[in-house]
Amino acid sequence: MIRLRKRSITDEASLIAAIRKGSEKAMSALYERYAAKMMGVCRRYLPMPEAEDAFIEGFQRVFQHIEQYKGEGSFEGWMRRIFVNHCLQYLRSKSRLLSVETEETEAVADELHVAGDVLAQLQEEYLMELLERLPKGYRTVFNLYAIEGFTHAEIAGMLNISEGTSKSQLAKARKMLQTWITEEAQCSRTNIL
Amino acid sequence: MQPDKHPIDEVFRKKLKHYQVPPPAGAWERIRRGAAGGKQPFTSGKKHWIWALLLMGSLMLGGYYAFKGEHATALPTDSMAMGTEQESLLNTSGKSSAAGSEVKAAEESKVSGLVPLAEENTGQTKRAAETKQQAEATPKANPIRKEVPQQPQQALPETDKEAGNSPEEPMQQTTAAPDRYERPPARVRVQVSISPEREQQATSNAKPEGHKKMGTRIIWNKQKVEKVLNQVLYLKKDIGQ
Repeated sequence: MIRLRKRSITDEASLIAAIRKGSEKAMSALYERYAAKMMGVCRRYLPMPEAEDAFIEGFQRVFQHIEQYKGEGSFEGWMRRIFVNHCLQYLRSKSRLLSVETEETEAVADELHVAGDVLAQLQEEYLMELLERLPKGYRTVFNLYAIEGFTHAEIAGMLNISEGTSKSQLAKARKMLQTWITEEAQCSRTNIL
Repeated sequence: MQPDKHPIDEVFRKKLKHYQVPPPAGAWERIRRGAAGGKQPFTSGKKHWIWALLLMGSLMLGGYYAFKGEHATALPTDSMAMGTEQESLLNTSGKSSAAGSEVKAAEESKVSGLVPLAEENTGQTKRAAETKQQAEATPKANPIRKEVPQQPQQALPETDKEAGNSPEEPMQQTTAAPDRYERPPARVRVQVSISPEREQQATSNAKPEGHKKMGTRIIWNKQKVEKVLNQVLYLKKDIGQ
């Protein structure tokens, strides 16, 4: 009996090299590997119909510009950056982005404190719901700062706003999130009692 | 580097940094189609298109050259309207076993002379004159040729009546003819002249009802024209012209 061996492309470098040569199989493998993660990124920035479009266009952009990846840093980080930038560009092009308030406010989020055990019990889906409830400007800055890890200076450059505005947006986003989480925690305690 | 680490930030970062959402159905097909429309290498479909274009191009080129070659060998219709200028007169003399067949007459008769009426067709009058001079310089023992005096080149009448000739009065004409034709004529006029002795021999061998008088005939059939021309060239070589 002849046993056929299927060559699976597991190594990321060989996968990228195959994509550069135009291998559709390698593209499919890369899609299977990162599709869910990148869809999650898009969902954090955009609501559902727009997130799907941004997801598809983001992958197309990855395949078209894969030759620009020089191997510095992780490929997933490079892809994620492409998807984030595309989501921001999508927001800008659709004139949805950021009616960002320009006044700088002091950090009001520190007034509220949420217990650590309550935060640890929060489910991912619930956190996503909270993110979706945020205004777009707040959500974008919170995503970029809290989850992606950009600094205020970087966020100011990306969104064409000042650092103070970025800080203000972040503080307001935190305050709203803490309020919602506290209310949710109180409701759950009441229901238990 | 972020200076402040808020607990809410930490919670969201931990739980949503690698948050996964299943991609929508049909997304890969859309991505694949979009990537194929971008700067992807040649797909098999594009290769097929290139091969089809190459095949069509080669076929068109081949057809063009085939048409060109056929058109070059085909005779122009207006050349036939030129009348006697485009005609080549073959003046042969000799024995004709079958009077109705011009080809056989040409085969069995001896060539006394060829008068090219269409110098455009030949394009080699100089060469013909040279060959004629060579033939005159080295005459061969050909009694028929010796008997034939040269006559000025002129358009010959269509029939014997017009020419005022009778089969008993052979018209002899000797000219030089080209060895090959750049443009073969559409028709040839063959005038068969025969010596009295051979005429008598031919009429005695042939049947009375099947016998046709010698004279000028016009051959229109293309194949026959080619046959006659070949025979003339053969006879020319035979008599040393």
